[in-house]
Amino acid sequence: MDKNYFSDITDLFIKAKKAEKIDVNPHSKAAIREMLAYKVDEMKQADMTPEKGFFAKWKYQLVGVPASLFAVFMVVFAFQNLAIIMPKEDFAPEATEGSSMEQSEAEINIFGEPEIKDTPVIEEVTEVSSPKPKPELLVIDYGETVQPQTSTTPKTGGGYVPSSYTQPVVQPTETVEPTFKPYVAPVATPKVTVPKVTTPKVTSPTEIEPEETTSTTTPGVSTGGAFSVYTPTTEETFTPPSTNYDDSTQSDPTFDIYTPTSDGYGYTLISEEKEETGDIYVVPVPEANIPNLDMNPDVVNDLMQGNIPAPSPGTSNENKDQGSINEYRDPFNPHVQTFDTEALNTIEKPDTLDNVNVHYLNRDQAAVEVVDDNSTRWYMFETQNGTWKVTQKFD
Amino acid sequence: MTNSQDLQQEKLLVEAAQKDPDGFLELYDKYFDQIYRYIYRRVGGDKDVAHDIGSQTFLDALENIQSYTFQGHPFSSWLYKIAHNNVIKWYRKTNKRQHVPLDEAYNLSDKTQNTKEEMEGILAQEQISEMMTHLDMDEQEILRLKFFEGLSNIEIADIMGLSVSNIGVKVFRTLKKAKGLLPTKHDLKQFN
Repeated sequence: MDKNYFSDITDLFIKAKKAEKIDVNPHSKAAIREMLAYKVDEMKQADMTPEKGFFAKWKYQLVGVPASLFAVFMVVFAFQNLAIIMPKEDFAPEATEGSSMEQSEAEINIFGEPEIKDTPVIEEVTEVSSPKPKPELLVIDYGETVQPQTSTTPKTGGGYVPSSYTQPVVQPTETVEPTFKPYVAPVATPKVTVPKVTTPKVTSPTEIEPEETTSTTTPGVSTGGAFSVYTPTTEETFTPPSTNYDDSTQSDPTFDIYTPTSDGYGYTLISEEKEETGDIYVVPVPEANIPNLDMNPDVVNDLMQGNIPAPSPGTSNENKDQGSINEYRDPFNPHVQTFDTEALNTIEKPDTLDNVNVHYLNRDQAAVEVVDDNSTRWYMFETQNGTWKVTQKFD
Repeated sequence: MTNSQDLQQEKLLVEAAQKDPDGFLELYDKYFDQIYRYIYRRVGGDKDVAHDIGSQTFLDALENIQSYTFQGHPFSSWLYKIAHNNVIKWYRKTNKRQHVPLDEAYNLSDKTQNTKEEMEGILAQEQISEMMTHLDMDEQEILRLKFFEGLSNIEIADIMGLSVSNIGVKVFRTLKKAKGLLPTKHDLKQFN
């Protein structure tokens, strides 16, 4: 390749450059220079400014960022805890069940003692699942009183139980009329004079008015009222107020229970369990504790064998020489028909009759204990249409 | 003053400008005309556009003077590079083709009032303008930087972001291509 191969090109560019006349506008150059000078002044001004320290440079960020985050969290948490309680669809704002008004009514005790209604409805207060309202929270409340406490306190009568009832009490759901079939007289023995002749003469026992028993403080469970518990004294003989009793009053919710003194029969009518708080609760007497001598031959045998201690007879004997007929009435069934002496004529009685003890098992049954010098015999009497007849004999 | 002395002096100016922004004004005074003409040629002789691009070029240079590192090249190469990028941005922004009218690009004067030397120069400009229309952008830029701006291959490579050897090859091929585009002496005799 020739050294001057591109000489014509280069010469052409040289000629063109020489002929080039590009005048730089001095005003434009000055304007740009002024602009650059102004920019230089700004840069120098920025450089002249003393450099700020770290805190002075970032103080707003150091303070502002945490404050902003705190504000954001506050707003978030505030809206999270904003519980809006909406009533149920079937909720009636005017409903008063469980309201404080009903509670005050329930606390009225017309009997002067704590009253628990017959059918206590133990309602479990639903636990309020929503958080406890805070002052800043929006709670839509239509007047429903909600106890915020979590409790299983029984709710009686639609009202709230007073705070003294700290422990739920199992209340009887119904009042069971006690049916105490057997009767073994506690201590009193009516005085019956039995002549040694075959026809004993039975005299009616002297009615001894039972002493005014002291009513225990145990509240009764009744429907619409309380029942009283009478504890007979240690009087040897007493007569329940049978004359005042009327069958027509069976439906009356108020009835009396006579509890004989403890004589080893092992049944207790009233449980006097007392709470430490002083409140007395009535526990129904289980029927298992009541000996059913009616249809249980074993019990009768026990009675015959003396396993069940019988009351001491003879206190009411009018004529001890002639023996005596002790008539034990069921205090709980004082209306039982009197075992007449004619019935005794149907059994064989030895001449050396000491005592004849009549144990009323129920209205229609009676166990007669004939005691002579050497042996004791038992007869089971049953009555039909007022006539007592021997049905069984136990030697 | 040798070339190395120019570079050393230029380095001192740049270091002074990096320490004190006022020193940049001295660099501006030294290189503004050169950069302005380059921009003026690139934008087709539009003075207003050349003014805007020129001001933006030196403003960018002022703001980034701290990042400039002297690598043995003239400082003007860095300014050319900034100007080259701004011109490209302007073309992209205005969506114009980089076709430079002959009379506007080279500011041709009235032919009737020029001397023979001037007439030859004007004729050369016309031939170059005609030739440029057959070259692509990189080839035009290489010839422009090579012959009008008088830059070396190293500077051109730095401006265009290419290697020096690649620029050497491109310069050779572009000149060879341009030579083929020029009219021969026989053509010129027939034209005359």
